Amino acid sequence: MNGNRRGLRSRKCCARVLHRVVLIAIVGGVLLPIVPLLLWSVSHSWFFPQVVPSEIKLRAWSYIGSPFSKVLNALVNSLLVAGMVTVAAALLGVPAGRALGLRRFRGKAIVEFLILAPIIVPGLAVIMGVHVLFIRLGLVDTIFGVALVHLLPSLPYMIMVMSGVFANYNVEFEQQAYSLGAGRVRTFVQVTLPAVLPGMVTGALFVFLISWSQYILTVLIGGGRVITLPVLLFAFASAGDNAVTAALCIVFLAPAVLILLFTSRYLSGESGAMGGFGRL
Amino acid sequence: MSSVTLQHLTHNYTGSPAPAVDGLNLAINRGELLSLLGPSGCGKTTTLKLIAGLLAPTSGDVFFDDRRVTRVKPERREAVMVFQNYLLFPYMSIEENVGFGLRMRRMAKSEIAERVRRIMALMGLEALKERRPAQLSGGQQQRAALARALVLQPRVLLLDEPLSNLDAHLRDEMRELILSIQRSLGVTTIFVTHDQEEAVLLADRIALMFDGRIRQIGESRQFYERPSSRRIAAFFGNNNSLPGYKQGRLVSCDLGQLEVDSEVADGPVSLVIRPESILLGSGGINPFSAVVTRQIYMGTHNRYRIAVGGGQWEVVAPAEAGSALEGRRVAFSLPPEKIWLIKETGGFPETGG
Repeated sequence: MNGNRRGLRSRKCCARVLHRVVLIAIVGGVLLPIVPLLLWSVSHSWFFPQVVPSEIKLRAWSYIGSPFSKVLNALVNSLLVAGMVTVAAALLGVPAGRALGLRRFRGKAIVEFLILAPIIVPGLAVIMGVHVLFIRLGLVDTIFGVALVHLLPSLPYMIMVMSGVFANYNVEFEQQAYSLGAGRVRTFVQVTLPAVLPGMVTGALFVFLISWSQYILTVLIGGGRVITLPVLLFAFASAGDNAVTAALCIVFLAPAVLILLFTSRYLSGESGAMGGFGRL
Repeated sequence: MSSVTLQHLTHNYTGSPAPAVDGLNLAINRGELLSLLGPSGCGKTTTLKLIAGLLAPTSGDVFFDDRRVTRVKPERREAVMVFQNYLLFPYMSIEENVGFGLRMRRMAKSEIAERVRRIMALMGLEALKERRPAQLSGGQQQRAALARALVLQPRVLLLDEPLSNLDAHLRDEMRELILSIQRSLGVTTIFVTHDQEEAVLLADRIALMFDGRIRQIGESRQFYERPSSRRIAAFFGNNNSLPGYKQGRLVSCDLGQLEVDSEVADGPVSLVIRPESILLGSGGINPFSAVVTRQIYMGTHNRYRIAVGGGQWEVVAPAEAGSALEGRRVAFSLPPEKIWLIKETGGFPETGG
């Protein structure tokens, strides 16, 4: 009895240590690459075989903060585009996901394949045709056009996530709400939305980050007029300015990390509504 | 409270070859507790949803009192449905769940609070008002779902299998609760069940459904004593039947000739008798004998299977000490007044009502 308990305690202790080690490894794996970025961003001269830069200057950061650089402009553009794409993807993806998740209809497999096609087919192959079309429609060189083209690789993810959510969703909750006297709008807001919101947040996160890191589509449709952070980043990287590139990288990372922090409670398995109401 | 009338109500799910509900006619009185009884897949729940307005009928009409409500949206119908799996909104407390319908009616907050408090007290839910649905037992969830419907004082209450998800002892308790609340509020109630015992215990009247149609409607006694088809007799636990041919006061069948006391017209009939109506022992009218194939001790009585006409009949008799009859040939008699005859028409012996 006694020995058994001791064995149990040591096993528990072991598990806790293992838990810590894995946690540290994961956090370290994510954070470690940021350390050289931080160092690069403040280095003035840093040559082999020095371990740390010999001279520290805040030139890159003061450039980024200065009103003459385009960084603030690019940041706003990036946020604007990613925001528009996310809203549009939600507006299109929720009803599409609902239809795919809840209904069975003829040709559903074909529809699903076509929705996934933009992920499978390289974007560059499609974009040339889209480019010509956009020129005709006057959508090139506009922020709106860039947002529109960003939907191409991101919308499939939203639809996939939402169709998964709705596949686990019990529509009878809505019928129950109607029966209790709730109209369509209030049923959607009070019953459907809370059930699918965690899934929507997950999908929105995908969409936002895909748009956020888009380069080629932005450059082609934006035509160098719509400057987003990745566009700026590539420019500095190819110009060989390591300090500014590193500082930009950190600026580029920040929103993604912030969003992840704010939405993490939706992503954890703890929220029971992860799969709609389906598994209650 | 309203009466409910269904007229030629039909619903065909898209892609399904046969209608789930097929030309249903049914009248439910004000304040009545009616049970829609039938095996799974017979269209009971579909009928309930048609009354609630959650499905649109392919054809036919629904009336509440004299008002045609076929095109009225569910949220305006004042017929509240309680689903089989309760469907309490998981992110709301029990109190918020119960108040949901009142909030949808934009009632004053104080009024809502008062009504919710009253119904929760009536249903014994006060202690649970802060809880989430997931923290409640099945019986508590059922009571909360019922409270959420009753607080709206609906004209018609629709219950879908209200007892089927509960344990046996909870089921008795919930049955009594539903019965007493229905009696005290007098709300017209239609409840769906597949369990004939439940229907008998709870309902004023039973409407029995097979294959999307109502086959017999009446008080529970009639289903035991005067089933309108062999299938209905079997559904109520009576498989003692034989085909026969009636001529005057006599029916000839596999057993031989029987004396009957029936108004049914001469011709092909099905003969039905309840297990407890068969008298074991010699003598009596219509005496026969058969071999007991199985004897089951049930505590207060014995259940025997006897070989009759190529099939098995069931006989229920008081358990007497030492009466081991298995394998022996016994005498029994069929009292004419207990024999129920069903008129059979041609080659379709299964279609009764």
